[in-house]
Amino acid sequence: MTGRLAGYVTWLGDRRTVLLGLVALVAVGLVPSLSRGADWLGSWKMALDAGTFSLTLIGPVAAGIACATYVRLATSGVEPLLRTGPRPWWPWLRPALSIWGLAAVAMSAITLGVTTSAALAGAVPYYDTLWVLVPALCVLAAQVAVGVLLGGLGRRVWLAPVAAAATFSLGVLGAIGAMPEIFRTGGLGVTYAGETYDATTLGLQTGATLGVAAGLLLLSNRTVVGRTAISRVVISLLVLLGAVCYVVLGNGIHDRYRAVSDPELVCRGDAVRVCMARETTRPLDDLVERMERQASALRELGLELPPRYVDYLAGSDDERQGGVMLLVEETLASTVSDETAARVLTTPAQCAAYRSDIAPPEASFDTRRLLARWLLFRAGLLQPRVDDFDREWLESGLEEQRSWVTTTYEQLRSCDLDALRLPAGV
Amino acid sequence: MSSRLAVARAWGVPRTLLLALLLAGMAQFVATSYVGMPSFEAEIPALDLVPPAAALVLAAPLVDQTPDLTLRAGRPLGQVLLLRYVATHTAGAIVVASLALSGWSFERSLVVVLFLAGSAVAAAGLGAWHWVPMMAGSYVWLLRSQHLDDLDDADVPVAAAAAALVAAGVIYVCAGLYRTHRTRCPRGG
Repeated sequence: MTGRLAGYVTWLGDRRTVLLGLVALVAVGLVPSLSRGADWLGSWKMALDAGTFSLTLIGPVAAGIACATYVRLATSGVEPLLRTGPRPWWPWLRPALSIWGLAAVAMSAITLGVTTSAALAGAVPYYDTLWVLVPALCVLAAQVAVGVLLGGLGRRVWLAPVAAAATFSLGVLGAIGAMPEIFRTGGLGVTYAGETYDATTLGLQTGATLGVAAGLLLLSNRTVVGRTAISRVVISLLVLLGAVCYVVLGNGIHDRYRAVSDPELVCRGDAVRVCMARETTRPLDDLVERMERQASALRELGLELPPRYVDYLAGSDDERQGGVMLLVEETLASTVSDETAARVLTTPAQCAAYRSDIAPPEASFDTRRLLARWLLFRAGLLQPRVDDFDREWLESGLEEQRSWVTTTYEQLRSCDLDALRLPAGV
Repeated sequence: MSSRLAVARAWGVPRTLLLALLLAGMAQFVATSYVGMPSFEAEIPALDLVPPAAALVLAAPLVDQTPDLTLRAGRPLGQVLLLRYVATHTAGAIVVASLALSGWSFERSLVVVLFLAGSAVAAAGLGAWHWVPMMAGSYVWLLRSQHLDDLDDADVPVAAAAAALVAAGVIYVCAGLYRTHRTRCPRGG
């Protein structure tokens, strides 16, 4: 290890200990990142979100390590020596910087791993959103500072797990609304289709966490950290900035993501054209293939498909195009079910009623469900069971069904949802 | 101060019992509360956070902060280690009682015994860093808890808790004896 690097990690232990610490931090960080499985494979921005979410545990563990380290530093008897130097705050803060760096490497390694995996799975990378690592690293600084404070003032080894638990609790307090969510990094569970990170909210979080970090580091050893005029000025400015950001974040609604004004779409298929948000195109090819197979039944009846089906998550609301209404897990998966493809085919228009606060008429759900079952039956993908309510109608033959299917499909295309009726006898 | 009290203080027993009382009091205070956690699908009962907290803050007596004194202990070392283990579980019993009084079934409250048994095994292997794997394990447990279909699935059979208590105690004591043996005889002699 080079001399300079060795100086940074002296208070953490030898090279083997530092390496083991890094492995431990990566291992614990993977737990929250993988807490929802690997659904982030379907969205690169979501993978980035999962990578920074690793701080949920890396941060508290880093705080615990910082606490243990500063207990050793504070009780080692070197403190009087520190005061004699021209910059006494530097040797005091250097272990904190080392721990922050070690935890930052762990978080970055996880983020690199999950985002690369998502890219390899087909998700389009958005490198211009990598700036969200900056607020995450500031949150990590504040988390480490909690450990520095408890270790520097408490000076008891048993405080290390208490520091870890306290840091984790700060995240919980933010989650339940007892304080602004300044310790949160990721874990939103949204696909980010047609959305991106909100720079204002995350900027305010950056300011607030820097202020918290500066304030806690000063309190950890006021005589050493605040000994020079320059350190006092810098810390005062950061604390003031942090206080302003904290107050602003505590008032009003501050979402961590916002809709993109003109979301990009990726379209596939000729016979059936389907478009999804560029962020989430993983199941697109499979969806097109399954829809094309089932759409032939509609063409046989002379029905015209919409020019294209567009992902609702992409913010489109043009009634002339079909709607792709997928659940979050369907949007992120590599394949969809035939039932999902049939459901999309029964949405030939993006009717306003589908996203209105007032639910569409009950009959519209029943008719679309029956139409979807008819599509599956015609494609040979559904075999009605003896006790199915629609078995008799499904097996009654095309001539018997033609009138209802044609009328229903046209009503769905024209968004005349109130007129929808089930066929007689169903 | 009697020598026994001095030893108990050196092990952090009074402080741990105080923390146990504090945790038990908090359990009563938050008994009906739910907390929303990032990435969790639904809010979780605040009481679910108590067993992980117990594993983190009540395991301090398991860590030997004065190994030099331990080497000169008058009592057999196995007995010393066992007393440390008992002290931790005594503090845990206070939390178990509080959880059982706050609406959890007694069997469900016994999960605290499992957590402290986990801390003992972690302390046997990692010493003062026992809380690191316990943090990760606690998070996994919280994730699992939110997916339980039936409350009965959260119950810990008394026999299972007793088995974990004994097994973790044996591991902790044996690991402590082995470590001391290696300290006294560094070359295996």
